Amino acid sequence: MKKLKFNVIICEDVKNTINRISSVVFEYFAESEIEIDCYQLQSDFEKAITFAKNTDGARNIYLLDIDLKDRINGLTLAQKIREYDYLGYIVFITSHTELGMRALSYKLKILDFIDKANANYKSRLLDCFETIVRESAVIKNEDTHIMVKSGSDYFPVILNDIIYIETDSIGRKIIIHTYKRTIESYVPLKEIQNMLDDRFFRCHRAVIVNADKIQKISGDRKNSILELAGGNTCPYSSRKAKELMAFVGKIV
Amino acid sequence: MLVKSFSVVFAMIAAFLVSIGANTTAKSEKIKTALLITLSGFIDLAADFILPEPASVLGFLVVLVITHKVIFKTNLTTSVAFSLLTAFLHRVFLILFIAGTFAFARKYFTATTEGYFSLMYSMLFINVSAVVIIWFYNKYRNIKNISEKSINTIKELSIFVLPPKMFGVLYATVSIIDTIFCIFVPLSALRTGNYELYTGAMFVVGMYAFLMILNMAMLQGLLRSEIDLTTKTDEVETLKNYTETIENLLDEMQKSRHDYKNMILSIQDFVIEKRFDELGKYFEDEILKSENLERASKNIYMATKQIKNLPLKSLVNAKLNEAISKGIKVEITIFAEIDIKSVMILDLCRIVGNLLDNAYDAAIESEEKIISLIMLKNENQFSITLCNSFDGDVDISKVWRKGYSSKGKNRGQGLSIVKKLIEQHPNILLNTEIKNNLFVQDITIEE
Repeated sequence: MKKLKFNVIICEDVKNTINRISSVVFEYFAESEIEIDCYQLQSDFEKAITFAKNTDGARNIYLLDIDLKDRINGLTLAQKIREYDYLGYIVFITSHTELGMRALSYKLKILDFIDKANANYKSRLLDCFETIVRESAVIKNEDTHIMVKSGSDYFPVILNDIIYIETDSIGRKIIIHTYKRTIESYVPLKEIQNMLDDRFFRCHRAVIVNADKIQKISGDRKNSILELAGGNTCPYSSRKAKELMAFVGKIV
Repeated sequence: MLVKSFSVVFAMIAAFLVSIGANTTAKSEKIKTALLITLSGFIDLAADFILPEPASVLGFLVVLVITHKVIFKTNLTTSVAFSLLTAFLHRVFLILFIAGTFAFARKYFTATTEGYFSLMYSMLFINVSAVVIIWFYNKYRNIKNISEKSINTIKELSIFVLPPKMFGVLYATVSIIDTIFCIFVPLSALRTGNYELYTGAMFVVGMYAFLMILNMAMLQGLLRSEIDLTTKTDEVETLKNYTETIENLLDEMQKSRHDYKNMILSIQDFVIEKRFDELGKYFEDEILKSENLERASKNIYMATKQIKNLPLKSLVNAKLNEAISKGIKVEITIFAEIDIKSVMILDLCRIVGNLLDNAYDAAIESEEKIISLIMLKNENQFSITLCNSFDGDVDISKVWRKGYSSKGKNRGQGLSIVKKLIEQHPNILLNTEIKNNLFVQDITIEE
C-alpha cells in the first residue's frame, strides 16, 4: 500500500492565525503515519496555483482564508486551484460565515467553512483532517470508480452507483444516471464504455445499462423497455434482446 | 386608345383592391386613395386624348399631383411620389395588356405606329421609375439619414404596401404566367424559324432571372432588418423591465425609510410607558428583521451587478428578492462578469427562471428555507449552480417529468420545460444532485 503523502498549503494573511493553524496541522499528523509537508504562503497566490498544477503524487490540502485582500480574490483563488487540481481538498478559513455559500461548497468541492474566530475552530479542523484521511484511503481503490469530465470539472462516479448511461437526442452528450444524481458530459459513449467494467451492457445504440440494476425486462416488440432501480426506465434494442437476456442470466 | 382604356381599367381595379387590403392606414384614407386612383384612370385617358405621347404622361402627372395635394393636403414630395407610383401602375398594366393581347388574342391585335411608340414610352417610363425607386430605397435604407419630412412621406405611401400573403400569391402568379410565356415564345419561334424572336425571348428570360436574383437579395436585406428590429425591441423591453426593478427597489428603500420613522415612534411609546420587556421583544422581532431584509436586498442588488445580461440580471434580482421577502435565506455569490452570448437570452431566462421558481417552491415548504446561488466563469465556460433546501423525498428519475410535483395537480411543468430547453442546446450541460439535504442544479454553458 502506497504511503499517503499530503502537501498542506496555508494561505492566510495574519501571522497569528497561520501559526495557530499550523500547530493544529502538525498536532494531528504527527501522530499518524502520514507524511506531510506544510507550506505557509501568506498571500502568494501564484505559489498556491503552482502547487495545484503539480501535485506530484501527493494530495494537496489547501487551507484558504477567503478574506485575503478582498473576498472575491480568495474565492477566485479557490476556483483557480480547482481548475488544476480536482482531487485536492479545500477548506475555507474565514471570519464571515454568514455568506454560507452552500452552492459554492458544492461547486468547488469545499470540505468545510471554518470560522477562525469561533472557539471550536480547532475541533472543526481536526474533523476535516479525519475526513480527508478516511476518504483518501477509499479513493485509492481504483476499481470502484471512474472520473467523468463534465464541463471543466471532474466528478468521481462510483461504478456501483451507476444505473444507466444514455445519450441525448442530438447525440452530443451523455447523461449518467445514479440514485442521487444525473451527470451530463461530452465524453462519447464509446469512450465511457471502455472505462466501465463487465457489469455494463450496451443494450441500445444510445444506452449502456448496469445489469445489476435491471429489475424487469419488458419483452414486447413495440415497447422494449427495461425497468431499472430507482424508478428509472430505459429502452433497449430488440436486436440485442437475446444477448441481453444471456448477459443478465450470466450475472444472475 | 381602346387598349389604353382597358389597361387603365385593370390598373384601377388592382389599385382599388390594394388600397382596400392595405392594413396600415385609416379607413377614410383608404377610401380617398381608392377613389383618387379610380379618378386617375380617367385623368390618364383625358390626358391621352388631349396631348400626344409622351407629353400626355407629363400632363397626367401634373394633374394627379395637384389633385392629390388638394385632397390629402400633404407636401409636394408625397404627392409627386404618389403620382409617380400610380403612373407606374398604369404603365405596367398597359404593357401587360398589350403583350397579353399579342400573345393570346392575336386577331384583336393591330400593330400601329402609335401603339408601338406608346409601348416604347411606357417601357422607358417604367424602367426609369424603377431605377429611381431603387435609388430612393438605397438612399433611405439607413434610417438615421432620413429627415422627419421623408419619414412622413414614406408613412403616407404605405398604402402601396402589399400584405405579405398577397405578395406571395402575386409573385407566384406572375412567375407562372412568365414561365408559360418563356416556354411558348421560343417554341413558336423555333417552329416558325424566326430566330430573332427566339433570341429576343431568351434575352428577356435572362433579364427576368437576373431580376429574380436581385429580388432575393433585397428580401434578404429586409429580413435582416426585421431581425435587427426584433432584437432591438427585445432589448428595449428588457431594459424597461430592469428599470422597473430598479424603481421598485428605490420604492422599497423609500418605504423602509418611512417605516423607520414609524418604528422610532412606536419605540417611543414603549419607552414612555416603561414597557421595557415588550420593547426588547419588539426590537428583536420587528426591527432587526426588517434591517436584515433591507441588507439582504441590497446584497442581492450588489451581487447581481456582475451579471451583464440585463434580462438575466433583473430576473435573478426579482426572484431572489421575492424569496427574501417570504423569509427564505438567500446566499448569492457571483465570481466574475457574467456575459453569456452563446445562448439566446430568452432561452437562458426561461431556464434560469424555471429553476429559480422550482427552488423557491421547494425552499418555502421546507424547514430550513434556503436558496444558494453562485455564478462563475472558467476559461471558456460559464457555470450557474443553484441549491435549495427541500422536505420530503425527491425522486430524481421523475423530477423532470411533466406533472410531477409535490405542490399538487397542474403544477410541475417548470422542470420539464427546462429539460426540453437543455436538450435543444447541446452547449449546455445540466448536472443534478441531491446532497446533504440540498437539491442541486448545476448548469455549465460553453461559450
